[in-house]
This record gives sequence, structure tokens and C-alpha cells, in this order.
Amino acid sequence: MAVKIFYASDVHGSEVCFRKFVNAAKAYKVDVLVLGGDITGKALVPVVEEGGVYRAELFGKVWEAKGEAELEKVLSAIRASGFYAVVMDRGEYEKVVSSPQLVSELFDKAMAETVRSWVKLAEERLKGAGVEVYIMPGNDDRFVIDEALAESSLVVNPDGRVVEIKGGLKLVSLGASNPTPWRTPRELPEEEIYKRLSRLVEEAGDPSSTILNVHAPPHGTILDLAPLLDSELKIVRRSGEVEMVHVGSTAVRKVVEEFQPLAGLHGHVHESKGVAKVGRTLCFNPGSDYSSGALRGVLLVVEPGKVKSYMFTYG
Amino acid sequence: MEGEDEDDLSTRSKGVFLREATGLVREAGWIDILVFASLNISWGLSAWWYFLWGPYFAPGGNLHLGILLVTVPMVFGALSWALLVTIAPRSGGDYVFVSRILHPLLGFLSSFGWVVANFIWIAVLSAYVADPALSITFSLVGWTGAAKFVSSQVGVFVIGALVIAVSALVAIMGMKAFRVFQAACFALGVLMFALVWAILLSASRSDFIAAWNSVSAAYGSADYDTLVREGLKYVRETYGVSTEYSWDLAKALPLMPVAAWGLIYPYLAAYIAGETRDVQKSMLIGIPGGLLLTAISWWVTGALLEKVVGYDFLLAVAYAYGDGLELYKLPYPPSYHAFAAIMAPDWAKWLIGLGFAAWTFYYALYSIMPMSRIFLAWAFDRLAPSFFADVSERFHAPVKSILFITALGYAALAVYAAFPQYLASFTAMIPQISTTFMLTAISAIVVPFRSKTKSMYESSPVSKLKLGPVPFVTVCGAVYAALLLTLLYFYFTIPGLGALHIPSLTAMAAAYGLGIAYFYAMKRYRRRQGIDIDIAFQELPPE
Repeated sequence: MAVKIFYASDVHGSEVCFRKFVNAAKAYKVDVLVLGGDITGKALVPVVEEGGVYRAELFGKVWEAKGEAELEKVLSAIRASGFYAVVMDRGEYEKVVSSPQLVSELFDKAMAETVRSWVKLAEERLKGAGVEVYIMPGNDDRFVIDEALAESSLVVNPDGRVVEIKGGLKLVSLGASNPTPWRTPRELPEEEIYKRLSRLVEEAGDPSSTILNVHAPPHGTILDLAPLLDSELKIVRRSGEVEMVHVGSTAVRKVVEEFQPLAGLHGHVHESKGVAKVGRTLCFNPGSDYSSGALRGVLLVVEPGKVKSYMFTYG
Repeated sequence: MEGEDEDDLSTRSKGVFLREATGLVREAGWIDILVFASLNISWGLSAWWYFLWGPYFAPGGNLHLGILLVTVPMVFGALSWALLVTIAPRSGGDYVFVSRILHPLLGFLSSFGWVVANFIWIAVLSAYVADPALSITFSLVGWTGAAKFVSSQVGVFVIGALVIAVSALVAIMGMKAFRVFQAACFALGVLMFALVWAILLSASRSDFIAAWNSVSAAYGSADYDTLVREGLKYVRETYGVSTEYSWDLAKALPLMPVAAWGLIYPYLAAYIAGETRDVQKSMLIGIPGGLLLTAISWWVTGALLEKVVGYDFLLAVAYAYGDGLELYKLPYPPSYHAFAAIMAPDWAKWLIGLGFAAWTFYYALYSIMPMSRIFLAWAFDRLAPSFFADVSERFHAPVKSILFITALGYAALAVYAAFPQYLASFTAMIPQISTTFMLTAISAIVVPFRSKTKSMYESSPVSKLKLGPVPFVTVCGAVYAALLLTLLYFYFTIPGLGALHIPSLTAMAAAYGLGIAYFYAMKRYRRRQGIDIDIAFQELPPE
């Protein structure tokens, strides 16, 4: 039986993109939804209340709101961009701004609350619809969200596991990436990625019925090209040109080459949208454009032994 | 990931907290967009076209007024493109927003029209490197044999084929080679303008007359005074028009279709919106900026030509050349850069000639690169075979797609070399204006009101721009549409422009028919595979 899977990744806290992801189930008439990691936001915007006026700074512009209705508009605009909005008074702001610890705690709280609300939204919209929903953390996601994902009666966090999905297919998932210059929360050495992934693929059994849902793309493909950085994390330019390098995982590539699974679903490198063939395996990276509110994804029609068709979406 | 989140750097201002995370790099900035827009208009080539054919089609019409008549409304056209890609910042240009705002079929036909027109441009503009660019250069320095060869049918094909081959090679080598090549052409082209302006600034009318008379004597052509006197007499008597140079609006209006040959083309940078950082700023500066820089370069060139060469000479020489009169026997077409070069030493002649060639040399590349992206976008949307989405791991470029385009480009060049009348420049403009540009204008008009793109519009900064109660993007689209309709009116009512070449237009209508049939056949084929192509063009509900 052919199964229709919609895969997206790297929404980075964008409320609009997540809502679109959930709504994709009905709009695209899919059987399985997979969100492949990096679901939390990167920035937090304090909305400071002073004398009944709320002020926030976004994209170099000061937004002002008076009253609940205007405040809601500002909060929506911030969330739509993938940022967390936290309302506080001037006194709280002064405390937070001088304490990295407090900023970190605010992030943890905002991430957990947001993921919890997202999971609830997915349950409200998709419960009983016959759609399987898999949401996995990626390298950028702190561990605080795992608990929120685990609370759901519908959403499954497949990270580090083999999950049987519709059509007798197996989904092998890993959210951690190979090391990055930022030392993000979920990174593993290549050897460890190889060890974990190869064990999972072996556990899954028949590779022709196995789909890899691995956040990091295979190294040396068109799915993993990103600018080279120097030791100060500045982009390296040669003759005025940005130097591009492969940043994917060598372990992921090795696993794909050795086991030749049915397909590979990847994210992580936003600008490297595409499809690459590694041996007989088709590997996809739909890329990400979360900051514009557009959800990039890939729709696959698969059955054991065959990717019948696929299409990239930009909705 | 080894990238830094340049896109988010703008948010690293006071009042925003950030954490450790990876992100997206968008490489091109507003300077890249400005250069892209300037080169696609080609100050150098379009100025040749304007100062030769402008006086021919609008005798007595003020050249500066002609520039204003197109530039002012076209600023709104340029803004239409910039604002639409700000709303949907994805590479692919009109294909992306027309298919989503209007209809998938229209989006496909819009880009299909672009592809059809650009096969003509590949042929015509690669051939231009041979003739007029190299033929003028070789003639100026006295290499008459070489000049004769490059303007022959075989010469045009050989040089054009070499240009297409180099362009394909650069396209295969990827964005880095593309930008180096683009920068080199732009630098050489700007150097040509600097030299031409310096020569014209320092020369007097009598310097030019002396130089002209010397060159024309060598070819048995009419001297300056005879050319002006007899040429103007010919125009008055043959066409029954006044040759008096004036600011009369009615006289200047026919300059619009000629000026449009250059000035309506700053849009191409919109095709790389997906790789552009701070899209709104880059596009809003870059696209209209390229247009304004072109207009300024034309304005300066026109003023200097009027001072040194004189409008009467420009008018007389245009008719003498255009109508094949005995008064003009030089082996190359008259051009503003040649007028300056004949007063210069040989080294400057070479630099000016090659600088002019540089303004045409990259055009095939400018067609091949975006075309390969369109094919890639079609393949991603399953409208084209996977073959076109095949990006080489070695070159990071869609090599197969580029080779396919190159092969078709050679076929178009062969047709142009043998039967140039079938691929006339103005004929290429008809499908572009009536599909690509017009559908873009309509998209700009309706984007705030279409339910399927409303949320995308409202979440973009463009929604904040209004002119009274009317969305600014709607105003831009309306002015743009009015300009395009005016241009179409001229193309269809001035027979001399050659736009109404019935066999060419019939062939294009057939091509569009084929495009429509292809679209529906692919749709049906994909549906049988379990994929509904329409969903690629829908915005998902954001509620």
C-alpha cells in the first residue's frame, strides 16, 4: 500500500509554520506527518510594559502597543517571525538584561510552553483523523522540550528509535547532528552517530522498507552546502566570494551507502534544498524559510521498495 | 552547520535576546542586485540601441524626454518586482508569485514565455558580440578582414557559438564563476563609459567633424555636412515629417518602445530572491537602482552626444544607415561609442570596443543561469522531469539542464544566423511583455486582495506601505500595467518596429499552445503517480 508522507524541518519557533505543518495533513491529504528537528526559536523579544504602553524592538524597529488588542498584534508579529515574545515590566527587564542565567531560564520556559501549546493544537486538529504525527527535536533544540512532546497522546517523538509507520514502513530517527561551531544542545561525534544509526537500521530490518529521518544530511551531497566559517565564526570570503563547504554528517552518508534505505529525510542546512541520490537511496532536504512564514516541505508517495513520487512544497 | 545566521543579524539589536543556534545564510546583497539589474538592462548595449533607433522612430523627439517617459512609470514596474519578491522571497521570479497569486497555469505560462523569449535573446545577443560589437572594434582599429568575417553569416555563428560555450562553462562552474565573470564584464563596461564620456567632454563639434570626415573619406561615405544636409532632406521629403528637435510630447512618445528595449529589464535580479539577504532592502534599492543608473548613464551620454555630435547628425545617420542610403558606407552600424572612439588613439579604441563587447558578452549567461533555475523549480514542482533537478555534486550546478539549454541555444543561434528576421529583438519582447511582465503587474495589483495569498501579504512588511487607503503594491502594479499596455500599443501600431512579424508570432502562439497542453499532460501524469501538482502552488492555511 502506498503511503503519503509530508516532511518538513527547521521551523525554529515559527508559529505560522507550525500551524501550516499541522494543516498540511488535510490540505495535502497525507497519512503521515514528520517534523524533522530544530523546532524551537533562536531569539526572545522582551515586550516591556511601562505606563500602560508596551514596547518591543524587532528588525531594528520599535513597536508600540496600547491595550490588549494592540499588544496581541505585536505578540503575533513576533511569534510569526519565529521569536518568543515575553511580556515584562521595566523592573523585570532590567534584571533579565544583566543576567544570562535569567535569559536562559526564560528561553527554557518559552520553549516548553510553546511546544506544549503546539502539541495541543495538533491533537485538537488531528485526533481521529487517521494521521500519524512524528515530531523530533534537532540539534538546536534544548532537552526541555522532550517532556512536552512526551505528554502527547497523538504526537510521537521518534528520536533515537525505530517506529513502525503506516504501510509496513519503518522510520529510523536521529535528531542530533555532527558537531557545529556553536556547540548546540544536541551534537554527537561522527563515530557515535554511526554507531547509533547503524544499530537502529539493523534493528529496523529490511532497508528497502526503512526511511531515515535524520536531522543532519549526508556529507558531500548537494544537501549539505553551507558557508565556511573562520575561528571567530565569520564567513570566509575568497576574492569577495563566500567559500562554501560540505557540513553534513560523514556517518549519515556511510550508513546510507552501506544500508541503502528506501529514502532519507533531512534538514539542518536551510539553504541546501534539494534531492540527492546516494547509491540507490533518494535523500531529501526541503530547506527552511521559516522567517518569512513560508513552510518548505517535501511530499512523498512511498511503498516498500519504492519511492513512487515526490514533490517539494512551499506553502 | 558551518553557516552564520546573517539573515538574523538584523535582529541582534538592543532588546532582543539570542541563544546558541544554527541558521541560514543568504549571500547576495543590494550591491549584487544593483549590478545584476544594471547588467541585465545593459547600459552600453541599450544606449546604442536608443541613440541609433530613437531618432529613427521618433524624428525630432527629445531624447531626454523619451528617457523620462519610460523611466518614471518603470520605477513603479521595478518596485512591483521588488515588492512581490519581498512578499514571497523565493528564487524563481514570476513563476513563484504568479502561480501562487493568480493561477498555477498562468505561473507556468509566465515562466514559459520567459523561456521562449530567452532562447531568442541567447541567439540574438550572442550574435551581437560578433556584430556589432567586434565588427565595430575591428573596423575602428583597421582590422578590416577580421571585421568583415565577424559580420558575415559564418562569423556571426562562430562567435555566437563561442560566446554560448563560454557562458555554459561559466554556468556549470557555478555562482562563484558567474559573479567573477559578471564583475569583470561590468568593470570593463563601466571603463568604456568613462572613456567615452571623457573623450566627448574634452572634444568640440569641430573635432568630431574632422574625425568623422577622415573616417568617412576612407570608405567613400558622405562627410559630416553632406550627411546632415542630405539626410535631413531625405527624412522630410520621404516621410513628410519635421526634423526639428523639440520637447514636443507627441514627437517623443514613439521613443517609448525604443527606450523600453533597455529600461524595462531591471527585473532579473528578482530570480535570486531566495539567495538574497535583507530581501526588502536589497530588492528595493537594487532593482529600481539599476533602472535609475541606466537612465542617468543614458542622460549623460545623450547630453554629450548633443554637444559634440549634434542631434541633426544622429537623426541623419540613423536614417542613412536604417534605410541603406548611399550617404552611409561605413562597414559597421553607427554607434555612440564609435563616435567617441574615432577621436581617440588606438589603445583607447581597443578598450572602448572591448568594453562595448563586454556589455553584450554576458547576456547568454544571463539567460542560461535563470533558465536553469526555472527548470529546476519546474522539476521541484514536478512540472518537469527529475532530470532537470539533477544538480551535480562536483559542480553544484544543474549541469544536465545547462547542457540542454545550451543545445537549444545553438539551434536558435543557427536560425538567427541564417534568418535573422525570424528572431527580431522586438518580436522577443511581445511574449515577455504580454505574459511575464503583464502577469507580474496584475499580480502586484491583486496580491493584497487574493484570499489565498492574503496572509502571506499581511505578514510581510509590504502590507504597511499604502498610498492613502490603497496598498502601494497595487498602485505600482497599476502604473506598470499602464506602461506595458502603452508599449504593446506602440509595438502593434508602428510597423517599422518589426514586432508584427506574423510567422514569428504564429510560432510563438503555437509554442504557448504547446505549453498549455504540456502543463495539463504533466498534471494528469503526476496525479496517476499520487501527486496533485496544484498543491505545490497553494499557501497552506496559517490559522
